[in-house]
Amino acid sequence: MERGTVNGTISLDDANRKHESLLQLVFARFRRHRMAMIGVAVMTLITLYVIGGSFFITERSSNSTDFQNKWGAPSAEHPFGTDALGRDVLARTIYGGQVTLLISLLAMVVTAIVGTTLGLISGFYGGWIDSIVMRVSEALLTIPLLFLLLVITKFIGSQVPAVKVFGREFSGSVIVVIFVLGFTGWMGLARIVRAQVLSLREQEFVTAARALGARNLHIIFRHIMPNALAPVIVYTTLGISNVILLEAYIGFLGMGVQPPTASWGNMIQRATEKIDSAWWMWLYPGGLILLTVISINYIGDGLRDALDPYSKK
Amino acid sequence: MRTYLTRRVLQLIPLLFVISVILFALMYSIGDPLAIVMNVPRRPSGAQIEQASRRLGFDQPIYVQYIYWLVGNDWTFIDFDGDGDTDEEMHGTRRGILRGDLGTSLITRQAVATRIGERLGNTMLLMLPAYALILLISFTLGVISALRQYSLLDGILTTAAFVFYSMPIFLVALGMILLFAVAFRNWGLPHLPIAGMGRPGEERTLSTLLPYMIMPVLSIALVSSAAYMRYVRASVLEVINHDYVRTARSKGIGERRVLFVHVLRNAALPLITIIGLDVPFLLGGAIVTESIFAWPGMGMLFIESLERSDYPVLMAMLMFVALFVIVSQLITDLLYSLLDPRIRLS
Repeated sequence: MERGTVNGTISLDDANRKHESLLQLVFARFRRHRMAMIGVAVMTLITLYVIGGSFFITERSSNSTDFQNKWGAPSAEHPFGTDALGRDVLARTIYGGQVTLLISLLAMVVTAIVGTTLGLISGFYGGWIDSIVMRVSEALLTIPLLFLLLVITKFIGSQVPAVKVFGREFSGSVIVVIFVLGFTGWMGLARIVRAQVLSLREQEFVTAARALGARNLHIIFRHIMPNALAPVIVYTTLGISNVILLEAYIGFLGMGVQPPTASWGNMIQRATEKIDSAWWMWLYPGGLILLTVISINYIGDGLRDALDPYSKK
Repeated sequence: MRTYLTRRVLQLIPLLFVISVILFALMYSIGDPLAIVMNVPRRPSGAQIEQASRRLGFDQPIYVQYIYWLVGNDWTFIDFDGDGDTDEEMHGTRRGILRGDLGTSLITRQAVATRIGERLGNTMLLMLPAYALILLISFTLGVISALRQYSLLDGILTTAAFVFYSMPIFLVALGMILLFAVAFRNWGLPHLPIAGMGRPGEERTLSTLLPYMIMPVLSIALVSSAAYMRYVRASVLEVINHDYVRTARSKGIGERRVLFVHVLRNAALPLITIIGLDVPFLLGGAIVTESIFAWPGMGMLFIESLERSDYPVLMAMLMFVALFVIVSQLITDLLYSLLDPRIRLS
């Protein structure tokens, strides 16, 4: 990104700082947001926990059942207790966390790509393409997301076979959940990007680029997209926490990631069966979900303040 | 005004049409409903399955099925035994959603309208008190927080709102069960029942229902209030610095009157839009809450129907929710123009 191009978000005060790139400016503003920095720290710890943990505890122990030891309370051997099939909750929070974080990151990548592309195209070309994209997004926005997600997950359902990545086997439902969450979140983003493009495409630099003979695609991706990027970054960051919550809900309802692959959402699924005793079944994964979502929401807040200082919250 | 209303209502028709096409295409492929319908103690023969499939219209291509769903099939014949000849044919019996026939549940053979009707009341029993509570909590706390901006109380309330806003609803629900049902029982205190709507066989009155309603209503209300409280706070803070508030104060109007007449009335306007638009989306939250507390409402019906691919029920429910969303959008717009004379709908 070149200096001075992002939506006029650079104030005189900022512009007077010498020799600072836009990125440095944004970073400096972000660092002033205390809660966002705490969010970054917590997210780093959680990432270390789910990735570092796998060096100490094998995946096998997260999936190995022990029927002698069902619903076991936290003990020296199982610090977080065991679940309905006697699996170690500690190990499952580690491997489930990997799956949950992976799903939410990849789903947001899909959403970002689909939403930005549709928004760019629909805003830039207008006409019937715009009408179709907007009508479909309106129609999809009319159905509460959780209903839509559950129907589509069921629809693709168990048709995807298990996949092996780096010698680890993931239930095919992981891929289903990634794509379903990814393809149902684009509507809001497409509308935001479209609104940006509608104003950007009328500006002088676009006319100038066109006068110099730039093709449409070049204008869209080299001139318009970089200028519409700030809200995309904020939206996708906050979107990750939303996706984590949705994954947790469909996992909890038993329609998400299928066992034996753990995710923070599906770990809680059977917690209601022994609600009066087995609090460890839901407290640990639930607590991790809560911590992650709070951290990401604060990071998103900080990014919004840093990227778009004039926006109203 | 009347032309505006007419135009808005006319615009609903294509939107509902698009929604119904998308949903029907999804439903068509969520699994073979017959595999479950036919799953009875005496396994039906292949011929019986084929007959059932023809009776229900599953042998038809998707667009024909869609048309049957839309306008019914009583104007056509069903080739019941599949031999193509005419003497054993029978009339279709469905009248289609446009003529008020939502179809028949594949599982219980009840009319879909009955099935939804008996659950809708239960969901409303949770939603209406939850909504009243949400408005009460978010407005009270939001205003307090805004009036004492940057105080310790504001800090606590804002942080709490952020935490609850990020909270998965099952965490609140399960936490509450642990406290009010389990711990209270262990301490010998009066405790709340965990699940359901009452003891079987017992006659249900409001006073027997109340203990069962407390926890689900509170979980919905706490999680949703958090988001609105943030809006209320921001909205009040914006209004409070306007000139007309200062003018009101300088005229010597009492602080209470300034707050309720000058500040809140204007701050509430944008909130009506946000809250009004969200009403139907609470139904989504109800899915999780109802399944934790085994509350037999719309959310549970949705999950049960989805698990058994009971697509007439699913289709009707989703269309109902979509209609609910669209109508509340319309009402919100109208309400907004009534409350804010600056806005004229044309």
